[in-house]
Amino acid sequence: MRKLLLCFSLVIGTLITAAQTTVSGTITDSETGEALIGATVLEKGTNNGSITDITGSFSLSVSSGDATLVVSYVGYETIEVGANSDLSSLTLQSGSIGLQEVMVIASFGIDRKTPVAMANVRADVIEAKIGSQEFPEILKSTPGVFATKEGGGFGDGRINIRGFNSENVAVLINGIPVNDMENGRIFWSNWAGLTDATSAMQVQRGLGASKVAVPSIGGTINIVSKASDRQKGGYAQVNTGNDAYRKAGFQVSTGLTENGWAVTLSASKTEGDGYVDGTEFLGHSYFANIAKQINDSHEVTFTAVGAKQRHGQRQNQQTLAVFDAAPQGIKYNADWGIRDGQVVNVEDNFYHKPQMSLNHYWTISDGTELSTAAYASWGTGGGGGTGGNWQIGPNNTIPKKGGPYGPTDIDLLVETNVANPSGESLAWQRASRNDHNWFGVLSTLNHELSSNLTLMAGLDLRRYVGKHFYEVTDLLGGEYIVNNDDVNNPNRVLTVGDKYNYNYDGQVGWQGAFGQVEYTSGDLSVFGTLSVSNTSYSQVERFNTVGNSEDETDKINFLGFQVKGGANYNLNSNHNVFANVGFFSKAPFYRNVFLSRTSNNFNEEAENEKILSFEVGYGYRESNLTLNVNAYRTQWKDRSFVRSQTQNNIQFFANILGVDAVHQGIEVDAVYDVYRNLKLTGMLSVQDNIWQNDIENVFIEDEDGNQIGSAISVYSDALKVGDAAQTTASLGITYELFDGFSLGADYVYFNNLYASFDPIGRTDESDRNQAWKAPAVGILDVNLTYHFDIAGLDSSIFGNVYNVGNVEYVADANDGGGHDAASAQVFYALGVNWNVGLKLRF
Amino acid sequence: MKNLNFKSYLLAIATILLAFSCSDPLGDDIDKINEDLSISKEIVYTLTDDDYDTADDVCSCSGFGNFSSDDGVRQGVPAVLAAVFPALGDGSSALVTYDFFNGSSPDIRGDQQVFTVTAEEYTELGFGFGNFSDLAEDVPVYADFKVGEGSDGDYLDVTHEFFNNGTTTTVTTRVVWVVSNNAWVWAEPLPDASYADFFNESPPDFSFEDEGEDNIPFWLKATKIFAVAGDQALIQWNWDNGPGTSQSVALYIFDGTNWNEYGNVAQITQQSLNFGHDGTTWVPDNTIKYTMGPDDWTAIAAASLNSNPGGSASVTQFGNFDLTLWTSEQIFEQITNRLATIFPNPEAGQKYLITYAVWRPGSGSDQLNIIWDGTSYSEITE
Repeated sequence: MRKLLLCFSLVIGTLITAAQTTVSGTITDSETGEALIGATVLEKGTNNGSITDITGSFSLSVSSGDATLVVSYVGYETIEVGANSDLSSLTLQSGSIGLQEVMVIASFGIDRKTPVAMANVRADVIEAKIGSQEFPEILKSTPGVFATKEGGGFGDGRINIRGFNSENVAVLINGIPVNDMENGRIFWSNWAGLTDATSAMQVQRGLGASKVAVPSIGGTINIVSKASDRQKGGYAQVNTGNDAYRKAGFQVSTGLTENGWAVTLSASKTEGDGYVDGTEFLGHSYFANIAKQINDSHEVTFTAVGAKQRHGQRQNQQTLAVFDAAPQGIKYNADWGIRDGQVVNVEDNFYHKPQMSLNHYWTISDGTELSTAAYASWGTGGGGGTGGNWQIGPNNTIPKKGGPYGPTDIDLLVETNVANPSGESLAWQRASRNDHNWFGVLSTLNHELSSNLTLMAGLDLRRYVGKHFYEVTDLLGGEYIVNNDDVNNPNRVLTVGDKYNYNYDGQVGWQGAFGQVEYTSGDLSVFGTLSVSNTSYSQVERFNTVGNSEDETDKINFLGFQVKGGANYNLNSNHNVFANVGFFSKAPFYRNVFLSRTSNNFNEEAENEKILSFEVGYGYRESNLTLNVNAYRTQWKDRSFVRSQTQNNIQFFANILGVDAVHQGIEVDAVYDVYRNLKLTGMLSVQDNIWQNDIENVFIEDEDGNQIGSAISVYSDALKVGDAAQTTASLGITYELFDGFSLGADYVYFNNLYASFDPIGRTDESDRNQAWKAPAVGILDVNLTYHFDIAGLDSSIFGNVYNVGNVEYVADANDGGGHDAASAQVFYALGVNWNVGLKLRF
Repeated sequence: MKNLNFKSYLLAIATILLAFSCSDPLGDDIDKINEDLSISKEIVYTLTDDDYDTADDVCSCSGFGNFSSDDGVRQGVPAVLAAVFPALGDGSSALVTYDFFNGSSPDIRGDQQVFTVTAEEYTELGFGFGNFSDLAEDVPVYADFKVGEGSDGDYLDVTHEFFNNGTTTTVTTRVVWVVSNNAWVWAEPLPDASYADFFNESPPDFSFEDEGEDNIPFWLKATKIFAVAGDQALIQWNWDNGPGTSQSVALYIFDGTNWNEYGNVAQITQQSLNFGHDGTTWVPDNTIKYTMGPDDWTAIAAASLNSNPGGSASVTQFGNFDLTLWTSEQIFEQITNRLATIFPNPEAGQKYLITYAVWRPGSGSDQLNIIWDGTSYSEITE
């Protein structure tokens, strides 16, 4: 009987497939599970094809069931499948080696599985729109993000997520945390080499999915660089833009050779004058990835990335009245000068931080993998500035050429130095140097306990030494300076390269362990993570210990931990909901333990900051519409607040608790395919970020508990958090006019930006005014992308015009004493600026 | 048809977006700031001849090309400043120099009063011996007592006992009201012998009034050899006035080398007064405006090393007050202590406007309005 049925079904099956038929299926990324949108499904040997929609699904009418389908997608290996085979879950493997493994180390979230609010920025979007922008700005259409260029110098941009600044936003590059080990900040100019070498970027908001203990309170920015391409080839690229912007770069890949090697190298040179006066820049970026597939179980990749750059900065903000009066308008910059007719960038930044990592992926058995990254980076550089007395102009101001808004008259400073009979420089240039060495190992074991349960555990070890000092860089016509900063060497005669002011090393050791359990069953996935870390700080000080040229303190240890969990449930193929909750006890920053650059006194009772966060989210996926809604509340308690008083040569500290803030909000984002060639994207983010509490009459106490010094009070209750716009929205269009040619526009709106202020500075009980609220702003960027053939080479042109309306607006402001527009100190954002690039692929 | 929808759709959205992005978000704020902004400058100015006429239109007090009263200065100078510097506004300050008329030279063309001092009067005034011994000091005391204030041209001839060199004689002493001193001053007559001995004149008078006036300085220099700069002498001389002899007086002032007649050197002096603009008008204002400089920061850092070590370190580092490390009370304390050092011994009522750099975070500057009341500094709140 059974045999008869089988026979029968085979006959029917053959009959069916013999005729013209419609087949359909879904195509996803083999590692992340993400739908591949726009992948091509072609009936082999014909022009008959279709492309996948927003859910990765396709439908194609084929001539016969015996047809072969060729499935291809940019960046992935092409596959061929029979039209009559099971097409319901086809996967394509990325064309790069080691990319998927890195994504696991980096805890890249997977749609409808990882219970975290996230947004992906695809490599092709970065390629089309980055132009002269930097990473923070490419994210400005992401909910919860507020990104600005600050002073406007190359790489000086910053990003806040959910109102938290970079101290509380984790940045991972290939899974390796790169927030500064002493102050938690990010310097995007260090990573200029990555904009061309990014293969995937994901912003996870809130606590994020990273297992490693990183300061993800506002969110995590996860950047994964290109791995070695399986295919041989490369590209050459040139860009030009406003204010003499020029960039030239290339990339070559050897492809996967017979003996298992693959090398990808890229390099570029970027230079320009900068939109803002006095922000000339020059950077050389490089990226290298070498992969070796040893055998089926072992793979090793080596990555090196870096950008050696120097750029002029606009360091000092000005009032609105000054920008209005200055002939240069919003481009006005007080921080550069002229010497012998040449521009001198008095305030500049120069840095080179090569980061290298050696990754080893070991497939121990089916279901067990060990990924280890050993990394090192050496940073050298710092920021230029003034030394001595530059205020020899009228009314104790710095002398300027040609009126009060002209460049600094460095010639006058040189003249004054030269005229000094003793040969001593009265004014000079210096740099504050912040070199560092940083070594670390990050190892993750991924083990499938059962088909539903995965365990990940690992170690995160880091050793960092930051070397900080001032050095003389230019004596401006004088011969030397005399300095007394070193107690063991009074009246030192210094020349170019000598150190002064302070000279200390900040040493940070970090030992962390983490574990995550993930349970997936059908439509439900649940995860729980625990990470614990010990941070040890010690300082080496070289100027202020009598009789000792180098004084090293003991290590002072702080324990921190993070526990978080979440769940995602797919109600059906369209709807999913998720929730996550977490608690983070964050070890204090270095500066709250060692308060002084010139003394080894330490504050060992510094308190951890505590963060409690929870979030719920909803997702809707349909063939031409993606919609996400999420709501969150993050409570930040005991922001670092340290005061000290010295009595009888002993320094006493008070660690004052109670400076709290709550950041909460709702975020909505959507992508809508109106037609096949017209796409709309939109985003709305409404935040409510407020400081809570006053602190009244706290005293510093001596060893007997007696109060010393005056009362310490902070009046910050109900003040809205400044520095980031609390309401943002965006609308984007992409329209493909004809094959390969598309136009796009992105409109970004922000409001409720309160000027920056430190709540600790609010010591006047009668002053309860909110900081100045900058006016609401909407900015339009337009983009043109054209893919075409030049002499058989696959080429592209990318054109971008940013701030088409040339709106003059403020996105960076510091609150003034009057809490009003007149007293605010601001940077104007850039007016209209543009960039055009040509890329030839071979 | 489908294409038309595309394009109009796009056009509509693009237009809307473009329109929204062509706004000027800060325009209103900047307009308001510029309205409120005044041109604030510090100037030094000396009145010109025309300026006194400008002032006179307002105060009717400077028609002669100078001021003769402080009230006149306070009324007239603001009018001059408003006319010469109409653009300067709130916060401006001006150090104005002007000619001041200190009063007419003394003469004896006015009222003469004659008195004889009675025994009771000697006693009442404390002259227990019933005589005056120092003509320059004592007789003006009697004049104050007897007449009080005089006016230009008034003089008294007082008959009294004069004790000199052991003998008491009855003499008549003349005191003249000197407007510029606002006091009675003894008119010292040229000794009769001096006319012949020193001036080669006989009889004991000058041929013309001017001759006396011009030549007496030489006699003063020869006879008052212990004079010091600032000493005054009111001298009376005789001169031939047709059929008779007249007398005249003149006030001389010693400059350390020579005796100069009042009218030539001291009648019109140059004075200066500080004015400040209060937003509406110029008013006399002695506020010292000062901006904290490198030396001040060094001193403050040293002074606050123990009381605010974090703040002290940041002052040394950056030359400003970091508002997250300094409370307003601490800043006031440090600034006023510094004022006591750089402006020692101020007069009661001295005002200061101190500008100092701050770090908010973000660089900026604040100002403190301080007044010294003679005992302590306090902040002036509006």
